[in-house]
Amino acid sequence: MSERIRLNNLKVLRRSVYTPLSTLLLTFIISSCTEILETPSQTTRSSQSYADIGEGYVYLDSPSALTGNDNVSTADFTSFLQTEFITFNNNLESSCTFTQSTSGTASSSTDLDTSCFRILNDSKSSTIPLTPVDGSWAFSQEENEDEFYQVNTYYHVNKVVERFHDALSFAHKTVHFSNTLLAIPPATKFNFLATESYWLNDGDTPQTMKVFAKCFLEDMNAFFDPAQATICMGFNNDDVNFRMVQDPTVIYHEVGHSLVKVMLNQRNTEVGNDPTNFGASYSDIIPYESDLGYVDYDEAGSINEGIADYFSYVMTNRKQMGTYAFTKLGLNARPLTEDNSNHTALVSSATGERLSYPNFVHYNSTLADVVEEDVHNSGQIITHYLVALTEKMKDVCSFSSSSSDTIHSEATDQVLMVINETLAELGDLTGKGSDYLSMYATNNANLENVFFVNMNRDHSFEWQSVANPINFRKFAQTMAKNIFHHITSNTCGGVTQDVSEQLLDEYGLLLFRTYNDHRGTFDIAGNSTTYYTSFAGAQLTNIGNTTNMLVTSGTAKIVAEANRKNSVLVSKDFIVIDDDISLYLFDGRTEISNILANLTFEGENVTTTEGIAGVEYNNNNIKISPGEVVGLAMNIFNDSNSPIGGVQLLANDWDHMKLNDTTSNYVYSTTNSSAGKATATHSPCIVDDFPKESEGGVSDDDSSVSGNCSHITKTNDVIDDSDISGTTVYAQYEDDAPQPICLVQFSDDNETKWVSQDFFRRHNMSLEDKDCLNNPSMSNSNFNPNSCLIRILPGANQAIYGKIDSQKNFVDTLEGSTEFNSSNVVLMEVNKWIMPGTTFTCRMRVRHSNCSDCFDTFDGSDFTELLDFEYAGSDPYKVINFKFTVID
Amino acid sequence: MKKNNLKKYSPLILSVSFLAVGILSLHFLTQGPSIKKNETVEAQKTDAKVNTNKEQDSFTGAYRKIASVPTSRELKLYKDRQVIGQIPEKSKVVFSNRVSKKWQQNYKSNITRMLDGTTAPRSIRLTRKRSLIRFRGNVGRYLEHVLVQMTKADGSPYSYEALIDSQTGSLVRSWNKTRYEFKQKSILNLSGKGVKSLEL
Repeated sequence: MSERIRLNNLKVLRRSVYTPLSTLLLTFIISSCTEILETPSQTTRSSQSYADIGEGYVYLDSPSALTGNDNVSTADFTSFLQTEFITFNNNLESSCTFTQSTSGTASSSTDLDTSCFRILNDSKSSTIPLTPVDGSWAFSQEENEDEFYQVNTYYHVNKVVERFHDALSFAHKTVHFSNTLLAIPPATKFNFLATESYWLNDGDTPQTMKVFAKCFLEDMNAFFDPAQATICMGFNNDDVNFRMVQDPTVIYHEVGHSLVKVMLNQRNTEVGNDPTNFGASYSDIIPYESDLGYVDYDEAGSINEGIADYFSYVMTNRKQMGTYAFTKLGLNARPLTEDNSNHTALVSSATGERLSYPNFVHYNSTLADVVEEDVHNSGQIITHYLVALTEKMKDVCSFSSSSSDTIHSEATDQVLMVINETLAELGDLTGKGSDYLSMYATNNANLENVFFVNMNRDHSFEWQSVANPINFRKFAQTMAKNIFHHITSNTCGGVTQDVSEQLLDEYGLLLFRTYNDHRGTFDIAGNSTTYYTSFAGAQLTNIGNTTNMLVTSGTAKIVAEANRKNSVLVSKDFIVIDDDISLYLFDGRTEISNILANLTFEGENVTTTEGIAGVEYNNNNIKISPGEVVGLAMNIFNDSNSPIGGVQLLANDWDHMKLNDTTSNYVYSTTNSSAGKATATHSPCIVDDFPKESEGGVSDDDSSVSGNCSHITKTNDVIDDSDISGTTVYAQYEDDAPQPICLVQFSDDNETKWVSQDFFRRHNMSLEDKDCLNNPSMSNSNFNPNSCLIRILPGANQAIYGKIDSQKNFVDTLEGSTEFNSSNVVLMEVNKWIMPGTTFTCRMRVRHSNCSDCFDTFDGSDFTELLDFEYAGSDPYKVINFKFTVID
Repeated sequence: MKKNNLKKYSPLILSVSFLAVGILSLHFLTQGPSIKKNETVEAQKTDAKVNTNKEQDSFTGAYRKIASVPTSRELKLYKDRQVIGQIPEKSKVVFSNRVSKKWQQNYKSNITRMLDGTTAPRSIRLTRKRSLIRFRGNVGRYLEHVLVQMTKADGSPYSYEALIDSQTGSLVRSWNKTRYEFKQKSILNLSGKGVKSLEL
């Protein structure tokens, strides 16, 4: 028998190696084998036992944890190494076995077709994967340092990935099979094996994540690069004895980011049958993916950091992370509970003393007196909540044994289950949120045009990232829903609705009034609002058995108001613009060049219109001048008596203009004009009494007529480009097309009106398409002349302010900080052909996460969550009219 | 451990193994269930079942279940390009753009225009991952899915994925941006930038 075959046989045995019996059996096989090989001669022995085939010497924890000393100057693991199984593979890679339930009692397992991750020393293309020496991974820290750290990186990456897959298997079984009477359609992918969505994917192929154990970075750091599926564990020459991989909690954190991506995107692959095509088999893979975090600072990014930190807790059951690595970097370990001594604020796990939102958004737990907007700071609120939830479950739930390891494992399984359910739903780009709501998975054509999450399939990406992104409210609400339906009603009744809500409230996260568990949505085909229960009049059955699974009725579960003690909801009416300084304006050439460059490096679309606007026109006169690219930060003042968090200033297109004649709807362009197409004109809808009718504003009160101001777009489609002759596209506006936000002041016959940019450029400037911003040479048939003169750059069309204290503006909240991040500004380009003296108003929309009237409506008796499409209108927001005159 | 040594100690290892199996078996047999608060959970589960069954009784609608699913997934293709959306009837298909040989050059030029002078990167690399068509109704739009890799002047690598218009080279959407643990932020200095009004 060749060695290769023999090793493969051992690999099969490895799958059950965790049981003591199997371990002993393995020992028996190895010891009785007549062809056993020598262990590597280059390895050294310390306190660890011999490493045999497939085994290596590993440190189980960081130098700080192993020595009990936070401040370890040099990582010397010699006295702490243990011999552990690594892999029988010929490289440090794993194919990630995943077990999926097929019923309440049966399951099947499979490996990926390819390796799910591979450890390499560094990112150089010439780097060769490490191979074992005579079958063993036993390398010493002193003599084979690089090899030693690669083996240890593998050990810890594999450990957290296996832990995740175990938890995902548990989640899948629990939400799909353990209870036949689940109340909500599970978001967790039903068929992980067929879709391979339990791991990272690149199109139809599972990705091999490469982890670089010695990744050179000029500034010490670590990162997850989702585009290339790589993790860089930093190293540099500042201290050649220090490597990020020496602290396993940092490995768990970085791998945690990749697992967040897996959970968030598991639903973006569909397989099934197409009932609209005679039931033909169907497979679709959305080629783009959801991100959790979009700009420098936003709450989605905070949640991502919080969950990544939580993975460190899952793996170590310790209440802090990064003890060794962060201390080496001059920081302190990051606390994961309030009782951790590294906190510099007076917090504790006592009621009312938790790390609550939004009070602690700018709190740097380890650096006293530092007030800064950073996703790691606000992410701690999420981590502390998740750890507190787990600790609560350890107190009130039942477990299969009294061992603390078992209790920790089973409690974290349940928390990871609801995190997975939450991310699976919120990251869904198919617009369905559950396989039970997918036409292809259920073979039910009635579901074709009904969408339950993130608006619809065409616009889910922009909904998920800009229009209605994941924030603390959305995350907390979805978590609460999943805790109630999957934990309270299933795995652990001890976590009652009150327990769950009270804990959320202690963190200031009880920011919602209903659980939205009936998922109000809109049926595009039926042109009506609908719910889980009413869209097709069918109950859901669980494939594993014949018991029907009920969905909730049309009424959502209501939060018990008595539980809301610390979570303060503030009306959007209290958002005003500061009287003294209305905005900060950035028009310096260098500062804008730098910010454009940084955003470009991050993949944001901030490309300016060549020849029409650019930083070469920027004159740093703190005014808006023709040709400039300017940064705007509205100086928002919180006029309430409570802090507001997650303030989002939106400058994206929205449905605020009325097509004057829906039969004349062609985009005014050279192409359409020369073809004699009936071109469109728009008038601004009156919003909050602006502009008045005498100023050109229009209004109506029939919300059933598409195109009306009171009718909000249900699709968010902008341009209909279906009228094509030969190769020429005659673009038309959709009736309720969302429009760019800036209007122009137009004076004629002693009247002053607010008009569209397209109207103004035609009537006042005779400006051709080619002289517009984002002209057809850039935008092709998506050209919209309503942004011909002033255009918000799409990659910088929202500004985020993490927290604004009561009776303060953002700068004062940051205790007089003299700096803004790029995520605090909106970028706007100004057409160089604008005549100085021309006045514009841009209709920006603002809301915040702890808002009392931005996410639901009250009909006098019940609160109802707003539907996704309503975020294309004005109701959920405070509209701020930013008026300015272009001055040379 | 030498091969010969292993052979030598095999009987000993074997004996210890069987002894350990015996001890462990005895341990498992004698250890009773140590489940905490088990009764509470069972009672609550029962309650939940009772409540939901009441709902079930009042329902008269049809049942829906997950259909049998294919065991593999394949990309939907049209003209050898992956498709986003539903493929329309072939005779009705029209395209709102065309494929230009310059799309890559145009996109790269757009990037470099935003990265001139002191912000110029050490390197930019575009890799086409696949070509796509996005269908909305009968109208198709040619798109290119690319991986963009850049290295800043300070050596830090960045990458992301993007959909690029196959004709104009404009960026349609981007995702999967690099997540640094300690992020170098773009800073704007506020001093002298505050204004009360920008109206005439």
